[in-house]
This record gives sequence, C-alpha cells and structure tokens, in this order.
Amino acid sequence: MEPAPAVNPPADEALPEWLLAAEAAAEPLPTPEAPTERDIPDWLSAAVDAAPASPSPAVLPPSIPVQAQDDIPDWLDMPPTRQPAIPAPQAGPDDIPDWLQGAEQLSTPEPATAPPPAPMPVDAPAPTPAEPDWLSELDLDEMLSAETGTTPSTPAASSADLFGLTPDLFSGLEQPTPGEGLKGGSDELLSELFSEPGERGPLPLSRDDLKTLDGLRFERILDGQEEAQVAPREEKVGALKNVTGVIRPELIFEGGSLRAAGVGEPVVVTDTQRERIVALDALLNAGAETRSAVSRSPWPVRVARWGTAALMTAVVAFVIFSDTPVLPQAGLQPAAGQAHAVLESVPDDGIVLVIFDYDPAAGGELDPLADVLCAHLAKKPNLTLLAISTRAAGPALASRTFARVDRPDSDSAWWNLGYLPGSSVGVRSLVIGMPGGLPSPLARDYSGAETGIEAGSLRALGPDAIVLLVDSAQEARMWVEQLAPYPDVPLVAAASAGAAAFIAPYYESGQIDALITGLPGAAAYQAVGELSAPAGERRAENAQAAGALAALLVIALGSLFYGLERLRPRRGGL
Amino acid sequence: MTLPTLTPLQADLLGGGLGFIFTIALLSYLVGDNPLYRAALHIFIGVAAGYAALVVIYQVIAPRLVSPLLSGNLMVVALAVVPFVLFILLALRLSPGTALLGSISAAYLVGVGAAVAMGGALTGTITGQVQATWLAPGGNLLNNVIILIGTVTTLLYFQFWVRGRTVTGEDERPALLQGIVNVGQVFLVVTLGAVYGGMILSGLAVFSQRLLAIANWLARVF
Repeated sequence: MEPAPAVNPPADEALPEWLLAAEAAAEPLPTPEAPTERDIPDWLSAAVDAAPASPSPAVLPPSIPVQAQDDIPDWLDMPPTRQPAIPAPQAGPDDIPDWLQGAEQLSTPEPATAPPPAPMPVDAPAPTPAEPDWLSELDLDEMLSAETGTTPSTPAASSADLFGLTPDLFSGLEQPTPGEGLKGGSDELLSELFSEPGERGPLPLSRDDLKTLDGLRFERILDGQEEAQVAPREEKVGALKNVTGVIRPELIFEGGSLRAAGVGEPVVVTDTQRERIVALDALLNAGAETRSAVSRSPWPVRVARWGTAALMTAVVAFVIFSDTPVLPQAGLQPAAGQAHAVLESVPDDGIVLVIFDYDPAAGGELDPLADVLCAHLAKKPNLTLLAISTRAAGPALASRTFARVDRPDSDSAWWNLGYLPGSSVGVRSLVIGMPGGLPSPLARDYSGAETGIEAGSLRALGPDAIVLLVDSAQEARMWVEQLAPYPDVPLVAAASAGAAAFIAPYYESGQIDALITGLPGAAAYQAVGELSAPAGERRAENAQAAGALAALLVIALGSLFYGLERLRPRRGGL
Repeated sequence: MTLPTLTPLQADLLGGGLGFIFTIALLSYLVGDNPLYRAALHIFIGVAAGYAALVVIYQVIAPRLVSPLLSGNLMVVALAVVPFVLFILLALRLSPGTALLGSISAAYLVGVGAAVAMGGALTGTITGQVQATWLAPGGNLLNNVIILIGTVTTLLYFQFWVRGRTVTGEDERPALLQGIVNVGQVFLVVTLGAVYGGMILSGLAVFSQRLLAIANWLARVF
C-alpha cells in the first residue's frame, strides 16, 4: 500500500456522497446516556471516584463515523460532528482496511439502495462525535498522568489510552511528519493515532489491531535509528563512485540505543538463589580445572594396602635372604609323576614339540617349569626338540631356556622355530599344514636356518609328545581344541597357578595327559626326575609358601574385620 | 665404532643392576602413580613393541610374504599374492576414504577366525567336556555326581527366567529353581576362590623369583 499522501483539512461540503447516504440511511443514534455503574470497568470506576469532576475539553471525533449499532458500546456511541478531523487518507475501495470495510458494510443495511461507492474525496471531513456527559466529567489527563507518571503534552494526548488497551504503546513516540509513511498496511491507523488531539475520534480498534500497531511501533523506532545512526556513505567503487546517498544505507540494528530504563523491576536475588549461583559458579570453575582421572583412595584403604604390601615383602624377603626352610619336602603334586612318565616314554630319537606361550612377566613361575622339563628331555640322546610360540616374546624365552639347560648329548637337535602368527588360525595351519609351495613353519628356525624337517604339518610330523607351557587358560584351550582331532599325541601342560583352575577340566576329561603348575610343580617334577635344580630354586619355593601363609593370614583378618563391620549396623537397627 | 665388549660377569652385573632398578621402580606404584613408575612402564612397553615389530618383520613378512613373492615359482607367487592383496586392502583402512575396501580383509579374517574357533570349540571343548561330565575318568561315582551337579546347577545359575516380581520389585524365581541356583552359586564361589588363590600364588612366585634374583645380584656385587 502506498503511503498516505499529505492532505488538506477537509471542508464540510466535501463529505463523500456515500458517507452522506450512509448517514441518511442509518437510524438516528440515540442520545448517549451516562454509563451506568455496571458498564464502567473497574479501573475506570476507581478513576471516576478518585478524579475531580471537571469537564474535559477533549472532544473525540470519530474518524470512522459509522458503526453497527449493536457493536458500539453505549459510551462510544456518539453522533458525528462536522468538526474538522484528521486528514482522511486518499484510498479507494481496495485500499480501505478490512476493519473499515466491515464498518462500511454495517453502515448500509440495504445494499441495494446504497449508493455506489464513489471515489473518496481527499478533503472529506470526518464527523466529530459529541462527547458523552460521563466522559466530559473525567479529568483524563490528570488521571493518566498520575498513572503513568508522565505529563501529557496536550490535554487530549492520552485520550487514546483511555481504553486502557495500550497504556504504553504510544508513549515516547513523536508525531509523524506529513508524508512519512510506514511500512505495511496500517498507515491509516497511524494517521488516526497520530492526529491532533482535537481531531481524534474514538478508536474503532480491536486488540488485534493494537497488537499490529505495537509491532509497527518498533518498526518505526528502527526506522528512526536508521536515520539517526547510519549516515549516507560515499561510494568507493563501481559506476556510482564518489556519489553519496544514492544507495540506501544498510539498516543496522543497534540494540544499545534502545532504552528500557524504568521498565523492569529491580533485580531481587534471594539467599537461595544466591547460594545456587555460587554453587553453579563453583561447578563451572571446577569443570575447567585439570583433575586426575584416578581418584585418591581414602587413607584406611591406603594404610591397608601399604600394610599388606609391607607384610608380604618382609615375609618373602626374610625367607629368601635367610634361606629358612618352610616346606618340609618338595613335590606335593601327583600329576608331576604322570608328566614325568609321559616324557620318559618318548623314544631317545623321538620328536617333542615344546610350546612357549607365556610372557616374560610370568617367567618367574614358568621358567623353572620349562627348565626342569627341558632338562629331562636333554637326557634323551638324538632327541629332536622343536620350540614354537604364538606370542612374539616366545622365541626369546625359548632361546633363554635352551641356554640355561645343560645338554650333555650334543647330537640332539633343538630347534627354536620362533613365532607362529595367527593365534588359533596359525595353530590350525601348523596342525594341518600350509598350501603346497608355501614354506612350512617347521622348515626353518627363527634365525632362518633350515631344520631339515620335511614334514609340512604337525600331523605329518607325528611328534611323540607335546609340552605346553602357558600362563593363560585361553592359550591352553586353543591348543587343546586344535589338537583334539589327534588324541594319540600325548599332551603335557605346565601352567601357572592362576590358570590352573581353568585348565584342570581338560586334565580331568583326559584331553591333557598331565598337568603341573607353578613352582611346586617344578619342584615336584624335579624331585621325581631326580633332576638338578638351579641355584636358589628351593629358596624361591619356600618364599612362595611363606608368602602364601602371610596372604592367608591377611585374608582371614580382612574377612573378620569386614564381617564385623557388616554386622555392626544390623545390631544397631534391631 | 665398535661397542665395548662386556665380560659375562660384567653383563650379569649390569643386567642385575637394571633389573633391581626396574623392580624398585615398578614396586613404587604402591605409593601411587609417580614418574619413576611411568618411566619404567614406558620403557617396557617400548622395548616390547620394538621387539615384536622385529619379530613380525623377520619371522612373518620376510619368510612368508617377501620370499614367496620373489621365489620365481609361479604357483608360489600366486599363492603369496592372495595374502599380499589382503594386506594391501587392510592397509587401506588407514584412510577414511578407502576404509571400505579394507572390510574385505577384515571380513575374511573374522570369518576364518570364527570358523576355526567354532570348529575347535565344538570338537575340543563342548564334546569333550560334555562327555567327561557323566563319564569322568577314574570311575569314581561320587566324583562324577559332584561334577554333574556342579555343571547343571552352575549353568542354571545363568538363566534368568522370572515368574514375576515381588512387592519390593525383585525378580522372583520359582522356589525349586531358586534352590538349584543357590547350589550353583556355591560352586561358582568355590571356583572363583580357587582362581583367585591361584593368582595369588602366581604373583608370589614371580615376586619370590624377583627377590631371589636381586639377592643373587647383591651377593655377587658385595
């Protein structure tokens, strides 16, 4: 919609024909009566009581003189006057706002007899309704100034606020200059609202219309900022170089210029809110600090840990350094005899596969087992011993064992085959062999030297015994499972004490012919085979036994202590 | 430049000294995480990783991949190309854009590994253990009964059928099943206790051997 043009004050004779016809067709409006007590809103009733009874000079001329009789409240239903009103906007039938069109239709009860819509004259005078008596008795300016705390610039400036719908809508707004249009389709409304006080009639606005105007108010504020804050720039490049003001400056919204002083209430922070703020602030600051991922244990736990460690260290160290005999004799494992019998049955020129599937960390427990088993095999002349491992560190452990064991018969062939990759798949390939042409794991040792073994698989090789040295039940299970189709090959397992519990079922089921575990197993095998033990091996066995007794004592004391701790709250609850 | 040659005694003393220092460094974790412990840990991890890399290069890649490819035997080369292609595809997983191609190798590895493991478990563990459950070697009837009861009740412990919930919101098992489950729980506790005891013995054995090595080293030094 085009902005409303500047118009001159309308003359009396310039009333549009349609308006005159509408007035003639309309029923004569009854004389407005003073509103009863029931019709006045509460807030207005209070104002009536409080305000001095003085007639207001303001006259409310209606810009839209016709309304449906039923839709107009009594106190608004006033006859139009011929006083000059605001300049009527030049608008055709299509430019009339919806609410005005509705009013026009309501004012013509018989459309057939109504005159055809004629172009609205520019200088059409707006009828001015007479002020009702009850309204003239109110000192609205004084009342509104007392309510808003502002002094109206004109006596009737607050008459629009009389309805109580937009108490702050028009405050602070300057009067629009002629020709200053607003965006959107509400120019007529703004013209009405910004008209001179004496020219203003009752606002036929609904709440929705006022909401629309409320939005336009900010629009106007922004427009004012645009003019105030953004200065025309001189163009730097292009065809408009060195020209100023051709291109509209970009609208920049600067929120800092919007002042809202006095709108909000002072911030009141309660004690609870203050505590929450402090807690939130502390939480946010703590989150930015670097913290250790490991929480520090409470001191009783640390004391118990250090005490246990000190006790165990003292006991083991005392037995080691003093060579105190704790165990009366070595060899308490009956399976050691079975293992010895299996290896003893190997022919002197037989083939034995020794699997080193443990880490160097478990060497303190499994190295003695490897030593005694290999020492027994070293007594076999012309024996072929093949060492292999599915762990990367296995070849080093095998080499170290070979170096420790004294081999009186130099004709025996001991080969360290090295690392067997692939875990269970690698074991399977060792058992069944590689595809033709590919090198067999049995063909060369870890250094690349040829072993002279022509068999391409363990099945073809047919070892006389297999010795399994493991510190984990998973490795033991893997070997047992992959060797299960060939139960004729004796299998001796030497495991750590921690893995023995899970390997024992295979020994109980007969899938493992013999099982020896830990240092006691090594000592038992040594005793059965009458083998020479490394120096100090007996001391380590005694130290382990003494440490086990100390651990038993600690476990008993801990169980007693925590058991009493659990009983204490139960007694208290009874 | 030639490295100085150490006599066996010197090497023994040097190795024993390093072992003593690293033992103290690792045991210092008792007082908490500290730089000495971390230094020893990083050294061990670095040495183990470097050693494993050399083992893989010299015992896997060189003899099982490079040598067959360079053998000149067409059949051997053809067989070696297959793992080589799978190796290349697996290496493509390093790049997000070509990671999808690496899925072929991963699928092959997973499939073959699962097949071998399942076949071994079926013939090596399930068949053997089920058979041994009611036919334990030795012919001891009491032992067989204990094994059978322990196996059945322990397996039933891991079933979670519930008839409903009690007023306190707890799952309610049938009374007979609850009794069986309690027996299985006893077997589980005994088993886990035996495992825990074995782990303590393993730790004590390693600790005893370490202290014995330190004692022997100190005896040689002083």
